[in-house]
Amino acid sequence: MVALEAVVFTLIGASMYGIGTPMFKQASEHIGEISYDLIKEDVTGFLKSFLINRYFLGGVIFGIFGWIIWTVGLNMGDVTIIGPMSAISYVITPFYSRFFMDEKLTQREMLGIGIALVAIAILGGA
Amino acid sequence: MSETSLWDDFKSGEIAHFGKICALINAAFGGLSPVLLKKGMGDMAGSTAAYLEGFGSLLLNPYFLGGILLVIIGTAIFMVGLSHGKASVLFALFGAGAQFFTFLGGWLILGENIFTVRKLVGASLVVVAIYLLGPSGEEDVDEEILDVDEENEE
Repeated sequence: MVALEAVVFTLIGASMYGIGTPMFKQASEHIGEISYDLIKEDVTGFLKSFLINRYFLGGVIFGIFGWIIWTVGLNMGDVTIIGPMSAISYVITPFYSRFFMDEKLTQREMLGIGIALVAIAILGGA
Repeated sequence: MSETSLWDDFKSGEIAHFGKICALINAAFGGLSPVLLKKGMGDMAGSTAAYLEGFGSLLLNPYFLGGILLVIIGTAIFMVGLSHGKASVLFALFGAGAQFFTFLGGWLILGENIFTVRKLVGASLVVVAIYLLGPSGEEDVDEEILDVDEENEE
C-alpha cells in the first residue's frame, strides 16, 4: 500500500516537470529556431535573451521544484508504483501545449504519445 | 548534389526532422545517464547512509561524472531541438527513448535481467511509439494543412 502523501507528491512533482518542458519551448518561440550556428554567432546575446525570458525562468523553476517534490514522493513509495505514476508528465505536456501554445497534434502523433505513455508506465514500474 | 555536408546542415538546424533527432540524442544521453550513475555508485547503491557519506568521492568517479555530464549535454541539445518541433511530440519521444536506452544499458553495462514479459512488452511498445513519433512521421503537418486551407480559401 502506497501512502497518500507519496501519491500526491509524485503527481504534483511529475505534473510540474510536464509543464516545465513546454515552457522551454515557449521561451524559444521568442528567439526563433535555435541552432549551433546561431549560438556560435553571439553566445552572450543568446544566453542573455534566455536568462531574462520569463518562460525560461518559469521552466527552470517548474523543472527543479518539480524534480525535488517528485523525489520526496519517490522516497515515500515503491519505485514500481511511483515510476508508472510519473508518466503523468507526458499527459500534462500535450494538454499544456494545446491550451497555452495552441499546439495541434495529428492522429498519428496522438496515437504515438498514447503508446509512449503506456510503454513508459510499464517500463517505469518494471 | 547538395554542396553542404550533413554536418553543416545539422549545425545550422536545417536538417530534416532536426527537433526529433535532438530528442532522440537526448533520449540516448538521458537514458544511459542513470546506468552510468548506478555503475559509479557501486556498493553504495541501495544504502542511503553510505550514499550520503560517500557522495564527495563520487564526484571524482568517472562513471558518476559521465552520468552527470550526459544529462547536462543532453538537456542542452534537447532545448535546441524544442525550438524545431512540437513540445508534446518531442517530450514523449524523449521519454520513450530514454526508457529504452536505460533498459538496454541496464542489460549491456550492468548485466541486469531484461527478459521478463513486462520489460519486453514495454520495450516493444517503445519501438512502436518511436516509429510513430520519430523521423518516419510527417514533419510540420500543421503547416501543410494550413497551407492547403489557405489555397482553398483563395
